[in-house]
Amino acid sequence: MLRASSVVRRFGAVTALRGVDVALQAGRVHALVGANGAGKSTLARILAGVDKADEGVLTLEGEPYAPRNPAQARAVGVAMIHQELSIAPHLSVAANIVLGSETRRFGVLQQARDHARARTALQRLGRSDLPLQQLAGELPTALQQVVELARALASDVRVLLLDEPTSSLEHHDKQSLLNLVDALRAQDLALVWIGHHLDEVLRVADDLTVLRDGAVVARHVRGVSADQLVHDMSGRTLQGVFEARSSSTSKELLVLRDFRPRHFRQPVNLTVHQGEIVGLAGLVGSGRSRLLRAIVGALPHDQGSAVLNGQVVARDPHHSAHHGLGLVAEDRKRDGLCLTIPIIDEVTLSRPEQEAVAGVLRSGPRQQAVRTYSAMVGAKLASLHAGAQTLSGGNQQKLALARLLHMQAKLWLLDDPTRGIDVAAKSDIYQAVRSKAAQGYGVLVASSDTNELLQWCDRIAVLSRGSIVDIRPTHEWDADSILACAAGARGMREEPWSSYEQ
Amino acid sequence: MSNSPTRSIWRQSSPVLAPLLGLLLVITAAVVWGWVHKPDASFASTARLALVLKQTAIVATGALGMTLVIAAGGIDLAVGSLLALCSVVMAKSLSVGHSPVAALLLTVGVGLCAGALHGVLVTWGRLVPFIATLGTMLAWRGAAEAVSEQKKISAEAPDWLSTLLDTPSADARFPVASGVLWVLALAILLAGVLRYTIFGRRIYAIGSNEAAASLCGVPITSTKIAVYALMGLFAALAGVLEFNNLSAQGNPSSAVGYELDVIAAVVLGGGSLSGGRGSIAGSLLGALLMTSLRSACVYAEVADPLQKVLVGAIILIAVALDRWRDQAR
Repeated sequence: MLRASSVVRRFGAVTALRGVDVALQAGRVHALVGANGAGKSTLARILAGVDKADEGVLTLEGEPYAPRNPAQARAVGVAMIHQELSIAPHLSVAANIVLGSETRRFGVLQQARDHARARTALQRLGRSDLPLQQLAGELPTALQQVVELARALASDVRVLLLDEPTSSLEHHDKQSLLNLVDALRAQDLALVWIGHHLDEVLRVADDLTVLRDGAVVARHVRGVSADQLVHDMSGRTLQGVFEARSSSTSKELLVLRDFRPRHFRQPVNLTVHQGEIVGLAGLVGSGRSRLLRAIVGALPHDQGSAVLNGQVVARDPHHSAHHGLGLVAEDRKRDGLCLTIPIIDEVTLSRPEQEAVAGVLRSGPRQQAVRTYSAMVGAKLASLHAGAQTLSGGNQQKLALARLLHMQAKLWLLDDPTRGIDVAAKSDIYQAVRSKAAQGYGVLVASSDTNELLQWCDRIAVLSRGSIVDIRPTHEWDADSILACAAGARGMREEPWSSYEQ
Repeated sequence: MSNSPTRSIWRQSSPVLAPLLGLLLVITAAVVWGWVHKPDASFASTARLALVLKQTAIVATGALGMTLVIAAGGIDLAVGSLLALCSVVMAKSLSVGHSPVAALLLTVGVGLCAGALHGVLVTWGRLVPFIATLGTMLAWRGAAEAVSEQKKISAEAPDWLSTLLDTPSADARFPVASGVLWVLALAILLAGVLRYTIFGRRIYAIGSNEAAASLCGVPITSTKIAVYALMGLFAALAGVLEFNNLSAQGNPSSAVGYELDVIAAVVLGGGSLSGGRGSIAGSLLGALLMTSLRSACVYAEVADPLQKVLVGAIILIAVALDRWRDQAR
């Protein structure tokens, strides 16, 4: 269907792709796997017309294919669903689905026809239950993604590229997305799947291409083992990276007493000890992020107290940063990082006064500190003066951790710290967190990846709709019991969009 | 595809390149026009240079403050009216018999307080900067008219406070007005603050991503209030220069449209209206470009309406440049 030969793409001195060949077939899912920076997203962006190849030839069903922009690619039936959803939140579901391909007659929108097209597209995805008139911004992420997929179908797409489509989804929604992909495959679309979660890749992919440092290192078909893929991706065998060695002590570090963040149904009582990693499990909207943000004071709380080492915190983020609370936010692009400022400023943002005299920064000590801390988390940096947006997702996340190291945070609040990053980076991040815990620091980590929590944490608290349902040592949990607890033992989960709260 | 390397070099180039090229273009065009049409009066004369520098000093003073505001992701539309208010306060204060130092302090104080008020409106008041300063733009103009009773106010001022923009005689060793040197010194100081202080680095962080900066512990409210207060201070200083420019007069209807020149100067100099970028050197060159263009128009006897169209076009080009650079990243 779509074929790329000897594709080369350079960014300045860096060669992102060095002569990559790939061929997509109708009715098959082709997975591109590889570590961060391996070039899989770059390749997908070239195929979708978002980026251009410096060398190489693309053909679509034998015809030369050289899209100048995503709109041209879409016009010939090639579309891409990005990691960050491109939903117009103030438009209705139907308007979003036909966005860019609205039916016009003498310049007037044909709403009835567009609604019919939107409905058909949703039916093909098996989601005709979505209300066409609802504003897309009111839907939870998982359903916004359904809207995006429907948009691709509504414009007669033949090749669909999915860039880390599950990174913002809950377990339950991931399953339905995988089922959607099966449905699309059955309709003879050629699909490209880019993902970090090997279990999903293995579940969904018919063909696999493994990229490393911008070159194809292996090709597989369905049936390849996860170990083989990891080996191909990293060039080394990762073993025993997730061996938890508890360093928990009995000394209290953070004590939440009757602490009720706004919109929480019940107050939270929770203690994090020195050296302890405590996990927060729960579905999106359960209040995981809200609790972490309330602890640093970025969101208000209505009652109770949060005390860190005898110091009352949760006033405001500036105050918290000065008393040893460091937060790594969930969404790097939205509020996790200042992507355009130099890396050196990014890492020192929370406590810049450490390398300053009377407000004037001292360049030498600052550079040294940033080098030291970024090396400690395994971040690969070309220049300290480039913006963080030049780095891969994994390295960006490491920068955020380097910032916590630099600010000497005693308690690390991590909100989904491994979202959308590769296996090797995950292991680096886990090791950095674990070694800090071993030095007597405390960690409170929220994650939607239950397995990860089971591997990382000493204790796990499960949240559901704004209250802690249960908290136990990790060995008393397993993936199923956490999920059951998070989904609420009170019967059926409500419809996602009615339980969605901001 | 073939032109992509050159395009990326152009897009990532230092912020001073674009205004520098623009400046060269304007000067070359004016000089060449002069050869043909005015062989006896070259564009590149000392007198004209002095005039351009004088005008630039006033625009550049506002552009210094505006660089901070824009780098922090904000905007201030009230600089023109605040300038007018400050120059009127200066003249009024002197004319009622205050000492020159007291008048200067009062003027600067009015600027600082008005600026700080802008800061309070956009932080605690949660107003969008555009709207907040659109409102105060009218308010300060009204205040200027109230203070001056809608008349020009002439005042007696000592030489050090009324000849800041007067060019020394041509045989002086350094034939540049002292006000121009003051502005240059302030610019160097401010560039240092932006580059080497915690305050400066925080401004860029807030402009880059305010939500992230806040979560990282950057004190948003105090930093922003300080930024707008500094903008007010620079508007007051520009008011003092304008007072000099009008030969020790305060005019409540002066500096109409000044904010556009200032914003255009910053954007031409690499500032991004979506925040996170802006440089002092760029803004200075941007200000120089704006005033050179006006001067060239006068020299080339371009009719006033057409002049306005040209300046408008330059502002549009500046904003388009800004969008274009944003997309390149």
